[in-house]
Amino acid sequence: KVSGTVVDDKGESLPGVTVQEKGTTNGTISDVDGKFSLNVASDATLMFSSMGFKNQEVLVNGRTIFNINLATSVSELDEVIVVGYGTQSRTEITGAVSTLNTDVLKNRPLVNFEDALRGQIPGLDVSSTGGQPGAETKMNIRGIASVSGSSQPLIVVDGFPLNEVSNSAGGGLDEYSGKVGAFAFINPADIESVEVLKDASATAIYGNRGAKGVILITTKKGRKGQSGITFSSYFGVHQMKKRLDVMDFTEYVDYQQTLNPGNRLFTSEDGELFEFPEADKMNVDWQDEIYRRGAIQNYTIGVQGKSKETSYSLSASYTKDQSILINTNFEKITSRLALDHQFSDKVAVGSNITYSRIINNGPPTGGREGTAAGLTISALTAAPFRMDNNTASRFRRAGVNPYQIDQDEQSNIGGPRNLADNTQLDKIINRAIANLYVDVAFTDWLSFKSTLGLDFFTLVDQQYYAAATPWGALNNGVGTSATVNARNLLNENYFTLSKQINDHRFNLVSGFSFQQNISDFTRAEGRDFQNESLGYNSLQSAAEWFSSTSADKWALMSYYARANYTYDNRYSATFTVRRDGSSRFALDKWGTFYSGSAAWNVHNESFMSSNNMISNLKLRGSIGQTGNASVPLQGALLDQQFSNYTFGGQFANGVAPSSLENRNLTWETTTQYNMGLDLGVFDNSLSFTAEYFVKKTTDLLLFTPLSISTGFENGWLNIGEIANTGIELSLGYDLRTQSGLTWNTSINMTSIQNEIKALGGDGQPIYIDVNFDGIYSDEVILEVGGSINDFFGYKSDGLYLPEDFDSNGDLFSGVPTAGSGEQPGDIKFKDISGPDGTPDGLIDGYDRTKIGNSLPKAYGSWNNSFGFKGFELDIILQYSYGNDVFNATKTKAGIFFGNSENQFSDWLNRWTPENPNSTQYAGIPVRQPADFLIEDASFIRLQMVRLGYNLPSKWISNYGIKNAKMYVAANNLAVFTNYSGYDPEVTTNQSSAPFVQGIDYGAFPRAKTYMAGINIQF
Amino acid sequence: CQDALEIPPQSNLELGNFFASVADFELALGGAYDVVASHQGPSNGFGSYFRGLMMMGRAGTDEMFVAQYDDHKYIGNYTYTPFSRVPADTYADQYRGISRCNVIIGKINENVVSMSTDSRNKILGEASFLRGFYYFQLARFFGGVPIITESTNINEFKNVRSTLAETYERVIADFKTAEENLPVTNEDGRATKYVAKTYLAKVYLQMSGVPLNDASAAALAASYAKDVIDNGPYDLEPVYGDIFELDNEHGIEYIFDAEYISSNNEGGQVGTWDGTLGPWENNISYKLGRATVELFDSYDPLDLRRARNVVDYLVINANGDTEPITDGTVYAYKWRHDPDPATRGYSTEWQSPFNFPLTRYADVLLTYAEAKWRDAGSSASYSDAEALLAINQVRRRGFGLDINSPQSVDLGSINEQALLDERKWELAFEGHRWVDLVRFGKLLETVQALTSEGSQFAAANIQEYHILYPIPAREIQISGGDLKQNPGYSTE
Repeated sequence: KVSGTVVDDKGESLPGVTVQEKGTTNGTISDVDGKFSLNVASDATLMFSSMGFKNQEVLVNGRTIFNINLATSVSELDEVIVVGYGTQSRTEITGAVSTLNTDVLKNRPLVNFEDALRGQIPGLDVSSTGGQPGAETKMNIRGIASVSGSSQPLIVVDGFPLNEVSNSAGGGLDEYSGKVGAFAFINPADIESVEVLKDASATAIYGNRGAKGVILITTKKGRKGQSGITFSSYFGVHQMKKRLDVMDFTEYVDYQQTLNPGNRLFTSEDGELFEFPEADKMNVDWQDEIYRRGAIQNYTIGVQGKSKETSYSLSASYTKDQSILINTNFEKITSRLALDHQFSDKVAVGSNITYSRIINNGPPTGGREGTAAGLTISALTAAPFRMDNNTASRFRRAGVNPYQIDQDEQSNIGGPRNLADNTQLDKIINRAIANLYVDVAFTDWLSFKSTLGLDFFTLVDQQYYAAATPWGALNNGVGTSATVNARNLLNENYFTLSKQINDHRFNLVSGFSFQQNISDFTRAEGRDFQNESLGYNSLQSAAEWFSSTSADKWALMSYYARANYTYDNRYSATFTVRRDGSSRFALDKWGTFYSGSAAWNVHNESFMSSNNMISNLKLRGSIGQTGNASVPLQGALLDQQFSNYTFGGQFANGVAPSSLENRNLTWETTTQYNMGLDLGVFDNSLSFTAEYFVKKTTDLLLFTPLSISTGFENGWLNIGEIANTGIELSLGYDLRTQSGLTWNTSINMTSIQNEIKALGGDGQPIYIDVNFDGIYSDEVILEVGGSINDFFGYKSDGLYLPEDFDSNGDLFSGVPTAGSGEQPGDIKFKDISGPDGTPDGLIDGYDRTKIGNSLPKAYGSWNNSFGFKGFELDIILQYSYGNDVFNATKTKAGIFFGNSENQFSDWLNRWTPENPNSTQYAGIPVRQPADFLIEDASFIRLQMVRLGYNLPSKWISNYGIKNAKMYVAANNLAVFTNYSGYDPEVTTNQSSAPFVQGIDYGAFPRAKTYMAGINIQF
Repeated sequence: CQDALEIPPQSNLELGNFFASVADFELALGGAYDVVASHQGPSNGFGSYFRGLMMMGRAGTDEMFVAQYDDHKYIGNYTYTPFSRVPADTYADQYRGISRCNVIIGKINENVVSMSTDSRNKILGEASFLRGFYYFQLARFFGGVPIITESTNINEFKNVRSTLAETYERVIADFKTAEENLPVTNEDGRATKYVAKTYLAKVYLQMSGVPLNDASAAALAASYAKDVIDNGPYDLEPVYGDIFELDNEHGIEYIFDAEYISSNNEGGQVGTWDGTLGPWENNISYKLGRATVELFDSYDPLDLRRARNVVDYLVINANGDTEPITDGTVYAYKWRHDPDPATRGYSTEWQSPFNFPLTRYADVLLTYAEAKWRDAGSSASYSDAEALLAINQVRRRGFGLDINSPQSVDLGSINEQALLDERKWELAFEGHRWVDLVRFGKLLETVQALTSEGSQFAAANIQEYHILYPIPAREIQISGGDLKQNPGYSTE
């Protein structure tokens, strides 16, 4: 057993240094004080490595205490990397694995852990669904390869794959609420390391869940010599980044007078416009009313240490996030205990127990239309005045009929402020996860580990819509109370064999696992409340009740093995196999997944030994198959639901199949080829990694439209094929000057080409109705030769101009028309085709075509960290190029249909005979998806700027403080984009098509956040 | 230990563990019957009798037009297209019913549950009857259609239209299986042996006319109708109006209905989709289906059936007081709600408890008369005594006269016009008129002759090809062109 301290050449202690017994995977990491301890053979060689420092090897030679002084350099080659079911040294890695720079974790005040991944990992696309605290983040690794569900990668925390869980029990206006990512339950401060597994070589050990990639998270453990307390806290304020320009009162009156002359609030029966001398006092921008300055606060405390046999790490955190939308608050509590105990020489046991609680309150933001309109949109479309007593008297003074004023007061229940104040959506999520293990080391090269993981999840979702809101008014108050309970159990058992014989190094893992998930759902709804004061807490006081329950259960059973062989640190090869059985399928339950890969560490060849410039040159290649089994539980089976009838006036239960049986249903199979190059020069101060991959997914699971002759409109089928081909590049540079200035910079870029190769059957296109609004349909097309997320609709061809019309105001023949009474200034759509395949002069369904795509052509980030004498400056820029957004908010606020809803002020600059050079449409003839809704949403985001200062130890050591850092930071400070909505990085949750991205239908605006914080170690 | 992966759905009945008892079969039959009434299901009630067939058998004829809502009016105005929702959902609902029957018939033939022969025969008979019924609807409204008789194996599914003759063969085969297996008496609302025989008569009669013109079918229709008249448990209700009273839905004349009650989400829209308009709260009627003035005028003023079917007044209050309509229009008012919401006991929005009669004994008598007439060569003056008695009994009852003695209103001979008129007067708004006009080859000329307010669009738009509704565009799209559209409709 050895221990000691690692310092840098200035004598400052160095945390995070990897200490490894040479030739084995036995290793540890130095703690915040640079201290380490490790059980090694007395004749072993210790290897010390850390980013930015030269590796150092020390012979143990019987000694037990080591004080190591690491020289500044850049070498990351011998880092220990966490992979599925074990660790490997960087040299042995043959697949595509990216490691998150842990500086990101250490230094950033992370509201959501996803923010740490945003743009950081080549091949990992992270995008927000909106700016609501706790909102789901959409992630995909190496492109969208499935149309059956989300593309969310498998997230494995300390060996335990976490299920995605829903943030909503459904119903009410909450239909489009998203999921809660597994990350939401993790305190970012608990995370030790994050690895992203991308190719088949890395993910095949996860079998039929590996196709979407895997994110491995390892949490912190207690370490010897580090009995210490850490405390960190930050405060911040959120601000609206952008307002959308809607018409003010005067402009709105002009709009109503022009397009809605029947609005008697502004025009008399004789068509005379009333005058409003105090228009500026009447004006309300509802965005001012519902958005506010938000605030965030976070406190985290951690205690960790290690005695002779026992190590512990205990932490707790509290976060309160009051968002920029009124009444919308998010609270999170996490606590965690990691306990490891060396029971005897051979047996170690331990546990890692976390509990988190999320409290999420707020009015509905997204949503549909009419009575179910969400706040984000209704803040744009609500008439720009508040009909209070003052305003009403101004209307009266202007001469408006009091009856009209009363009418308008009544219609105010749809006003955004009223909606926000009288709608309750309250959710509480409790999640407890316990991981227990026993580890038996039979010899120094053979061990067995058995784990038991338990995940308990409870969601309580309660909603109340007062009778004073449009939704509640329909039923004189509606309250719901719903509970989701889920229990997830995982048992893993595996052997690890790790042995070095001369230059031959073997590493074998083989095991068995069983996972089972049970969940149930209960929901009660009450309608018609005589007394509303108790809301959802007293549904029994309602006049009508409805209730429903359901339950789900699934299981997964697996056998797996991986063999890794390395010769002389030059040649490595890995073979992986996993056999998975899933209860989701009827006949084809079992599938086998393989991968093989090899790597050549060229720089370790003797012919390279004279080369001083190249410090790392590695070529990698892999091939393999993985699966995706995310099909609904009943997908394979003919399941029956109640379908009742009456016989002779007597009610009688009946049942009928609700889904089509497809007993042959099976998982999607993804075959992936990967080639990688790692290059490091000048002692790895300059590093470069390139990956090229082809990822082909066959037997796509799709809820396919079926001929109704089957009795069903849709059914789960395995059809079609999607290919994702891409490159990932990353370049890093590490500058260290004598003056103490350091600059660490990295830039990365990912470019992925997505192509639909086949869709089964006769290759008919499949139209996806994104379902944001009942009027618009078939917004997305899946078509052979096309790509996922192709938007579909009409193409515009400028505007109708006076020369298109004859003297009667009718369109000349030959000018394409939708027959909807087009006027000069309306958008003119292109007549592309007709029933016979040729243009027919009519604008109708035949003229629709591809009008955009939401997938970026390239995305990535540029990260910079500067350091100088205790000061730190981080700047992170994130970019995306070539992605379109379907701005569905415009279908509400930018159509100029002339009802009483307010609209974007673009209308003021519309084409008119007096403004003939304008290209701004005055109206649209066809209320269907069209290219005026599609916008280029390429962007560059100044994601984070942070300035920190480490207080000198002479100032703080008297107070028992080892380290103290203060910082100020700004998140999401600026976005450079042409997108006209609140934020270009957007995906509204639309339950009908979870893979569809880039639809902005009243998405919650993302805030910019200014923060200040401290990190202290005692 | 691999049993751990055998997990059935936890809160849904799955085929693998369903059909374990006679009771399960009865539940499945309930689901198969449910499509007949087809209320707010997957297709929102636009499909089967709840709305679709209340329009498709009635509107766009000389008895009814649709007064409101574009997506309803197009049926009456002949402006529907392959994209239109009402015919598409109606088509879909028949197949939904067929697939439910296919599962039951498949399971009963597999003998998965041991049961008495009586139970087995009854279940097989009811499922076969219903499947025949759904194919009959498809054949009449859409022509030859894809015939699916087994629980769908999606991996082997083929979607190709059969000919009209083949489709009718399927209907006949199913009705004959039903006839053989069904009991003579059954719970009200369920099919019986004589329901099956009645439908066999109706199918053969339809086959004998346009468009199939199967010359041998009329004799078979007559023989089945005769069997029902002679041996069936039915008779004419003494008073015409009593047939449609809520408390007499399963009277002596009742044969087979789409059944509704006013609770449990099992209500329909019979008498609310049509009806008269009342000004009080919770209007009894949406007055969507309106009677034509031509229908009103065609009745003999002494014919009591007019007053029961078509009215020229509005019910204006809860006491049932009326006031005359002054603009010359008339209302369909066959199913009559209690005008007083307080005593009615149900909302008339979506929960009308009135059944929709699909066939009744008068239909059998008229079927018999027409079948005999057709079998004898469709002469202009047919005077077979039995046929005359059948039609005259219906007439006598209509005029409130004794049905068993000769009356002044008796016909002395039968011709095409007499048969069509008697069916119109007797069976008004019961979903027969459109198929009757098609069978007689009279749809085009009858509709083109309409001049009254509300019918002018139908008269202007109707074309020869409108004797069939279009196959839904979605079906043709999904089939990749394997499925062919009916003539006259655009190819996509």
